[in-house]
Amino acid sequence: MSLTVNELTKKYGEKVVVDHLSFEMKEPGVYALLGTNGAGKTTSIRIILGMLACDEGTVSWKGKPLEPVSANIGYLAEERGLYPKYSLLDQLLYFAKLKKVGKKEAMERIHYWAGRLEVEEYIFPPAVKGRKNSKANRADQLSKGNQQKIQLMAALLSDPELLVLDEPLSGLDPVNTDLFKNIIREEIVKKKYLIMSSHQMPVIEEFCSDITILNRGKTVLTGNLNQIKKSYGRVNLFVKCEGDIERYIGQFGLTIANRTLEEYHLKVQDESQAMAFLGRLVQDNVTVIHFELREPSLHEIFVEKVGGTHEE
Amino acid sequence: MKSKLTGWKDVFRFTLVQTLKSKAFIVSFIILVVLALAASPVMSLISKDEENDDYTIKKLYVLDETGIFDARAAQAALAQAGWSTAVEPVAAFAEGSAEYDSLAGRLQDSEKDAALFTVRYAAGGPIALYLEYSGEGDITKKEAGAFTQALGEYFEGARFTAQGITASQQELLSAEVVTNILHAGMEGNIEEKEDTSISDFEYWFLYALLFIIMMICMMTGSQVATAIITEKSSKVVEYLLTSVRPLAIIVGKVLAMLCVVLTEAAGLIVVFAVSNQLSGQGQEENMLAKLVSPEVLGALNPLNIVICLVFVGLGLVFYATLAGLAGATVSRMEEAGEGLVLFTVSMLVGVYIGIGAAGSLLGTGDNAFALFAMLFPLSSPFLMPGAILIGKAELWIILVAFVILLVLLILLFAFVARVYEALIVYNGSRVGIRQLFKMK
Repeated sequence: MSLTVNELTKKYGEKVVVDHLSFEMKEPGVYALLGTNGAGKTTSIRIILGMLACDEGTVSWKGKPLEPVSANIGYLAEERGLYPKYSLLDQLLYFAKLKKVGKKEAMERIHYWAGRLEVEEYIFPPAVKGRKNSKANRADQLSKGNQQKIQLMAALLSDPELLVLDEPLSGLDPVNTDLFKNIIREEIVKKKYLIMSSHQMPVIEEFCSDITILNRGKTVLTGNLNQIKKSYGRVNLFVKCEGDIERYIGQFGLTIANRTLEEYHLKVQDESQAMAFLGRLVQDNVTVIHFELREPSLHEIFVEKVGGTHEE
Repeated sequence: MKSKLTGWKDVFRFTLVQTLKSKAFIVSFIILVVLALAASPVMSLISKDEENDDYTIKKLYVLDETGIFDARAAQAALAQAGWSTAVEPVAAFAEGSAEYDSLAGRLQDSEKDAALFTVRYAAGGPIALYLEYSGEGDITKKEAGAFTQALGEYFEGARFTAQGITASQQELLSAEVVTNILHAGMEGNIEEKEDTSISDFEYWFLYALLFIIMMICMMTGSQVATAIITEKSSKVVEYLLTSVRPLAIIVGKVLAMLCVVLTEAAGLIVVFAVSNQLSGQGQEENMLAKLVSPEVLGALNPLNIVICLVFVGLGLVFYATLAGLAGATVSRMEEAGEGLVLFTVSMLVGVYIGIGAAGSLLGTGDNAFALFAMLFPLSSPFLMPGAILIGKAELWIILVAFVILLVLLILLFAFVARVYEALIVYNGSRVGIRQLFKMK
């Protein structure tokens, strides 16, 4: 069972918005599609899900062309959408029905996810004497975060094999962010295939094994995240000492990437240069409080790849 | 095709149920039901005065300046028309004189079942007849009209009698002159050209039915377009597309909205029919029977009704699909009006052609324009149902019009499905007609 995206290309007139995008998910896990605004992430996702026709390329799922209507796919769109005036329960039952989930099973799942996402009071508002419902039970009466939870429920109702999450955490408060993260973790444990698009690099680093970075429709970087990082080497040095160490930095010819009141973020050529630098500090009895040598973060790689070239 | 339509029933059921449950539908339906319930009794009440067939005029004073009026003969003519009215000539007096004021006062106060009939030469030569009566008595406008007509008819004859013209001579003089056009056929036989024009009543029947269909069409169209735009603007459509194809969504929506409007229309018809029956109890005939001519009611056989319903249904689907196209071309509710221009213009073109054709049928009978209007797919849904009911559409015309409309509907549906599929996640300004045709 795998997902293969092969040479997807989409043009609007002369403009190429997705340019020969290819990637593969052989194993369950999370694949990240990254890029600046307008890089072509959402368009790529829409093509993969069959909402948009592509000019070239194919998408295969389990060795066959992906047919979203017959495959069990969950989708959380970037632009959240619910019927504003209809009852939330009716909408969820409808979405479940479209996914061929029976009413009884759908109700059980709705109860389960409503409990997990803490939205029971909106989906099953307690009756109050003299009024049909005591609480809001329509989408237009909910906060953005709660609407997002309902949408995630809709995406999960069919217990999908392939889950596509476009900016799943944007606009959520820290508590709800953790709630969503926990659910994503559970889906990973359940051996699901996930495609995630996000601007929050730490989240991607936390969940994703493989990534593709898009810039103006073109793939600028693709592959396993760990290997990509390793290929950059451990060139980021974070040093915190008692007293000023600027003299030593100058002597070793190190570049200051960033400096706070207490700590330096330095760029080194390789690990041996960092070790020599540390040895010199110890030799001169400089008290070293924090010394960390690590690979570049995804944020840094991302900025390096698309920084200064993306459309604002 | 099967997979493209998979799930349309779910879309249909959900859209139908949610629309029927919506406050907007319930409130508008209640208002329409109240109006339908009240229509018949209110019309009965308004026309009650007109329906009174009593003969209440008991005495008629006649002021005749011409010397033609014969009281006894007039009394006999009135008796023949149903009035047992005593006719009493009065001496000539001028309007505004003391005698006139005295008689007018009596009519107003004590003789409310009497009237004054004046025959005088009007300025310029014609003879003018006047009937004056108290507006506060039992004499109704309708009775006064019929009474004056009976007196007028008597006076027409009295003019000839006063000139010594016999009854047979009068008949000859007053006989209607009819002109006919005859054509020599190929075999030398003479063929008389038949008068195929429709009556005033048939014209108004066609007009009323056309207007009702237009209203239903407008309601269906705006409902379909609104439903599609709402789904696009609220972005729900992105979720739906992971489960159903665009064609299934649009088919489900169009049919659901059609059902909503037809349910509404059927409900209103039933309510109106019940109200009409109830308000007609105790009377010889109900309000509808009074309004609709028996000759048209006679054409209301089950086959005609079925054919009409098929045509109306097909027409509604056609226009609802056009409205669906309008909905597909816009992304925001604010642009709905702009998007619906094509739908509105097409419908108005169809309606005006239908009205023009009805007028031409009234004026000249069967003609090429009326035939065109019955076959033209924009106008046939509006004109054909009425034409069938008044017997103006022959079977071959019905069949050809049906086939043309059906073929166009299939082509339109395929086009709309293609546009909808291309624009379903489009989120920009309205797409023009030229761009629609360029779409792959």
